[in-house]
Amino acid sequence: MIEEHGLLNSVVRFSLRFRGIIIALSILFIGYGIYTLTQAKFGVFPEFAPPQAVIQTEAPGLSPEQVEVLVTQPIENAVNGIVGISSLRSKSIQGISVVTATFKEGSNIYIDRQFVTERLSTLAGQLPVGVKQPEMTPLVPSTGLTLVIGLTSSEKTPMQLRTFADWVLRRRLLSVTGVANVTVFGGDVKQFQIQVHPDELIKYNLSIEDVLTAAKRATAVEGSGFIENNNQRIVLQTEGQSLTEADLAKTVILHKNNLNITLGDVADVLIAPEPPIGSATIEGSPGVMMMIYGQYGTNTLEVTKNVEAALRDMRPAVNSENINLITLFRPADFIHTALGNIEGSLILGAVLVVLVLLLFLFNFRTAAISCTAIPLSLLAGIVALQSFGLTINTMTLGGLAIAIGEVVDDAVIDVENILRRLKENRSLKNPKPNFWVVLNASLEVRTAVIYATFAVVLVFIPILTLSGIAGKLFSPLGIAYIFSVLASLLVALTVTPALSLVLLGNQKIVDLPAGQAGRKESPFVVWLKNKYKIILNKVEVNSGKVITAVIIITLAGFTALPFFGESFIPALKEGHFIAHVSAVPGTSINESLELSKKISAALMKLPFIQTIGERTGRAEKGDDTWGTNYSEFEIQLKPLNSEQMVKAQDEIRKTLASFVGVNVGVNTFLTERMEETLSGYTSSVVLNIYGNDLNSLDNLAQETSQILSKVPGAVDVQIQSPPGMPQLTVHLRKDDLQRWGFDSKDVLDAVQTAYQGTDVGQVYDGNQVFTVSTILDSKDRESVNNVSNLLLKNSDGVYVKLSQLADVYETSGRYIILHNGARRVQTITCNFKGTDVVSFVKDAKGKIESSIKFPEGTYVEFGGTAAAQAKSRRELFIYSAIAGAGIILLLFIALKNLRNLFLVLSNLPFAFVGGIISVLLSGGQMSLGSMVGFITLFGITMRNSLMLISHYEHLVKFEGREWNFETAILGASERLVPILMTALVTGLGLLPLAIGSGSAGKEIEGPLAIVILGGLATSTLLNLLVLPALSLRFGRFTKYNFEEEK
Amino acid sequence: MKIKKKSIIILSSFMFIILVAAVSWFFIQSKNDEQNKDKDSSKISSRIQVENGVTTIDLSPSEQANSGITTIKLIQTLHQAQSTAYGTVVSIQDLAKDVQSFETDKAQLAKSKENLLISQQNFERIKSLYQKKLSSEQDFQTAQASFLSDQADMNSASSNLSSQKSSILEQWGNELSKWIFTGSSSLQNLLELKEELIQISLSPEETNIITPLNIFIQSPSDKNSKISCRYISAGHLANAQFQTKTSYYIAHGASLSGGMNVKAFLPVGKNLNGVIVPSESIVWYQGKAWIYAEQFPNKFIRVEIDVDNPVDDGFFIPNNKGIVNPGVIVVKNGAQLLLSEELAPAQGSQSSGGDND
Repeated sequence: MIEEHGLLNSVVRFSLRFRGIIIALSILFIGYGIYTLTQAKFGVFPEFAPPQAVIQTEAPGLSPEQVEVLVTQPIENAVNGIVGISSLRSKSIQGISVVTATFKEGSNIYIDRQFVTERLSTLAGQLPVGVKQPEMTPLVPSTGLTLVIGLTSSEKTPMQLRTFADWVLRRRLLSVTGVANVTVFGGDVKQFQIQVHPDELIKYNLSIEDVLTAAKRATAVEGSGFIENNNQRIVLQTEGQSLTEADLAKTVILHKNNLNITLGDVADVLIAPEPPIGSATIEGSPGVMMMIYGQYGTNTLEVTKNVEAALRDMRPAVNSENINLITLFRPADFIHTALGNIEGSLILGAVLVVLVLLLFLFNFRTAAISCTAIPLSLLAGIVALQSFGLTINTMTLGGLAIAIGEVVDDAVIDVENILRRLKENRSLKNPKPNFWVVLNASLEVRTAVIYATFAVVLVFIPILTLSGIAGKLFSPLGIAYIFSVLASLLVALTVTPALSLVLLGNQKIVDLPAGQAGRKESPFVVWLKNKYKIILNKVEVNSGKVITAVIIITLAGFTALPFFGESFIPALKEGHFIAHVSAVPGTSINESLELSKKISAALMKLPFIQTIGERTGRAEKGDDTWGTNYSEFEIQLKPLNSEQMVKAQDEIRKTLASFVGVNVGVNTFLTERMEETLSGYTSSVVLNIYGNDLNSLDNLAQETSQILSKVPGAVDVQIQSPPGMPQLTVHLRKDDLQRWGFDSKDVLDAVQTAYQGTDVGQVYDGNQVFTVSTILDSKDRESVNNVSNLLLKNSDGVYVKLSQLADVYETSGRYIILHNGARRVQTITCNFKGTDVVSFVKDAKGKIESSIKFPEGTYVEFGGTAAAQAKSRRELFIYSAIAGAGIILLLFIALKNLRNLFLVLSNLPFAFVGGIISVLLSGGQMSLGSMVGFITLFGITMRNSLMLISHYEHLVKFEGREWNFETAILGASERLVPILMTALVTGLGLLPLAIGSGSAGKEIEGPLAIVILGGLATSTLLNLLVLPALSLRFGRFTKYNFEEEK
Repeated sequence: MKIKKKSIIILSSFMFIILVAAVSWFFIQSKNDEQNKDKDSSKISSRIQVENGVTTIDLSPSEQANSGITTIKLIQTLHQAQSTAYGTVVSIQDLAKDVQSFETDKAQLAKSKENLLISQQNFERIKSLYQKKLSSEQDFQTAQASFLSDQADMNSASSNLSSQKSSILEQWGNELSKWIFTGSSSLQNLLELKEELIQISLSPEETNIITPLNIFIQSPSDKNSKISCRYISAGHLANAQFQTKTSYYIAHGASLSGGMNVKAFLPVGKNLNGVIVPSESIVWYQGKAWIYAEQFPNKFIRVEIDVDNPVDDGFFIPNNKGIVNPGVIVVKNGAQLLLSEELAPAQGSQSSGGDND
């Protein structure tokens, strides 16, 4: 009855014949798998950021409006046409333009960046004079932050601390393998400054240009060539340039009547801090914060290890300088905890699976054969992940955890059937050779298993095709699952029969009652089967009522569906928070620093906080473009459980909210990175208002934010580019410039030198190089009134006040101008609390639409996780429908009978209800994880139903039984153990994941496991109790008809 | 009977479904309520109140202390507005040269006058003799020529002196010229370097102000000390370096070098009573300067201030110009935080007070 030829037959036959080789190969593969595991890259999540190129262009002195028009727009125009760009965002702030080009998923990041580089090269000469060449920031992964460290010292000045960080630590860290960038906040950047006193210039009848010229001459470094004679080439080196502030001060500006007027006569020449763009406090004291980023494609754990090793090497140098170095944030901790938790769940799940096998199979050998499938299949999954270049992370481990049940099931079905057939064979008077029995028994169940496996693979297609961050997160889970299941199929075809023949074929038949040759059945199984038959009888008697009850319960379950809340990314328990504190734009760095000290002090009083580091503004060559009104706190928590972490977040929020005039947001690092990847912002809900008129956009943003803040549940409402930045405008008057003999550039250069400083050269000290800058003295830079009194000197030597050449007036400007898709946009972000994203967005949309009339050409768009979730859900439904059609076709090929096909599918709604109940009991939040859980559940459930229906088919078709009540009972009781075992091993495999689903590493798979557990419970009940009754009523099973088969 | 049984089953099924839906709703709602309750515990009434278009920020003393907000009471101050200008210490050589030239011309005129008188008398005498035919015609003509020549010399000397006077008047102004013309002792003080002459160049926007009689200049050797100067006269020539209207002032015993440029401080207008708002208190917003004043205890409002009278560390506000008067309490440190609080969107859980935590 079993086909004697064919691929399956050949494979199993080969495996049985060369069983020794197969077993040896298996052992070899396990060794290789373990080796691969040791070489694997570890991370919390798969790389979820799409390919991106961030282009930064320094435009010293330009206002945001000028940067937008003169720098950002040309770059956007150049980059926008590149094939494969999916989004283009930009920020134009004072002195810098940042354009972020995001490419379509799957595109090669290196080629994309090459395209960007080519386009940027075409911009040469198009950007205004003084604007530096656009540069792409180093390529770092989405969770590239490897370590945040803080430096403090009671003995060192902020400048000494910063110099040590810049020239000693940073340089060493940049040389560490895998480190892409190190950004430094805080301290004072050492600079030689020529702080000019305008009154002194006037006293000696000099101008600021005279000072600049003299300073440039003083610091010039020139090559001198060489002297060559017949024997040697002798290099000429010139020395004596000014290397100290005292030397610089002696630089002669003017020599007249045998008198020298030097830089020191008209300016203070001193070592002073560069005008800061950022600052930092460590544990509430001024210090230096260093953020170390790993390169794209590197392993966070490995880079962390390397960085820490480098820091250990540097420790003596750090200690000798009396500097305290503390770790403020170590993402590797969460990776360890998360992976540890999920690995623990995996191991615990595997142990529980083994126990279940022993309980049901009641035979060490059979249990052992089944268990070999676990390492073989899971290691095959890991090898597959490695070959795809994927990391071992919580998602892939989750995929393996889900696969455990099925992996074991493949082997169990095989072993169980082989045992049964061996037992039957041994009770025969003339038993057949074990080889043939094992071969036939193995092939007997294999066809159904193959169809079931491929159906499960099809089920995962929607998950693999998910786009965006959801796809990036869940597709590795799907890949891990699919490869493990396919590997287990291969194991069931090769290793399991080989091991069965070796271990079970020669098992002694002793001391067994007649008819039970081969082995004892577990007393538990015997008891279970007896009870099961009784129950099945009762169900059959009341089949109508039972089926009605099932339908009602299913319908009732569906009615609960609309009440569920939805969330995209659950709160991650990273043991670390990033708090964002922003005041109104224009807040000075000193005010922010003072506030930060107070906030740090208040937070340090909270008992659960371990360390606090704070940074304000931005860092040189950093990715962020925040102003001095914006601070971020790295808050490291002491070890807390999940619930305590949630409370801690609330406490931190509450503490921050007690400060006047600050906008706060508290989130975890990974959650922020995900949200930032989705929308470019670290908030769940992002509202973009598009339009052309900046003033109109500002007004609309103000109105919208007011309304949004009144939506129930709204927290952390922030306008991303709020207007109101105090600005002093210097508007040149052409007529007056002409009258006094100036051109625009003379005036602009003078203003720039006075208030921003002009770098005139460099001074080197050993291997450290510091800039020399000319700037007004600090007192003259403090007052708004002094600007219009700035004296300029024309070519005739006439002094003219700036107010004689320009209108100088206070006004209100913008800190930042945003573009999205090369359109002007005002963005409002917020988080929500006590509600779900979908209801919140719906509520907000309604309120905004009813309250604000958007002028023509202006429109609003919601984004962030809300939009991403809607997109993911839509994609999930579309691809599920396609996969569903494929599965139905596949099942039809397997069953060749529509009725039986629907019997298999009948289990799905009931499984769905089980999932719904479990979601309900776990809090009523439907996350993307839950949805993926439902899809996985359908695969597992379908497989179980298919195995029962195909067994009925086998009983009737191949064993020649009549299709009646007895056959239904027999088939069900024969499948009782495999079905229960499958359900139990799957359930128990996932149980550790589901328990404490909120803990670190289980935040996403936890809800998934809960859904599968709930659905598995109900579907198994239906499978065992109702499906036989349904099959009896609606199933069609016919005996084997050779002609018909032909 | 069967129909009745079916109806009962359908009805009970319906009831069951409703029940499940209700339980689900209640369960989820209660979960949300729990979270909301949690949220409410951190939600404290907003610090911002808007009444009749006036925004008031209510900050308890503990909130002020928490955020480092401090206040000061403005005190009555007598103040005179002051503007700055630049000047040049006049080189005494130029003055001495002019004085010398004037004196030379003056002496030349005197000499010419004497010569004219003698030649005139001689001419008169020869003329009389000639008319009586007691002298030759040649003698008469010689005496006449000498007289006319001396007359021309006197006219020339007079013209030179007049020209020199005009030049001096133009260069040094009325008063200094008078000193030169009259040989005043004040001029002697200048020439003997007992006092220094300073030519102050007024800013273009300040050319209409009444020239103050007493001003100060910054000491070249010590920026923090000032030297008193008294007004002499308005200059008739613009300073070549500053190209604006000038005035002459004299400083006593300041040992200034000629040709040196100096910074001058000119009092403008009358002495006024008012308050000085420290620069730390001021926030710039929408192109205007504002301070936060305490309207009622712990209630602050934003008040626009006039920035026409800048002083070293802030702005002087004359009395009775708005509400910023002596006795008013204003925020000294943390004004930017109040502005930030006022401009931030009112936020549920975010706007909490320290007291109520």
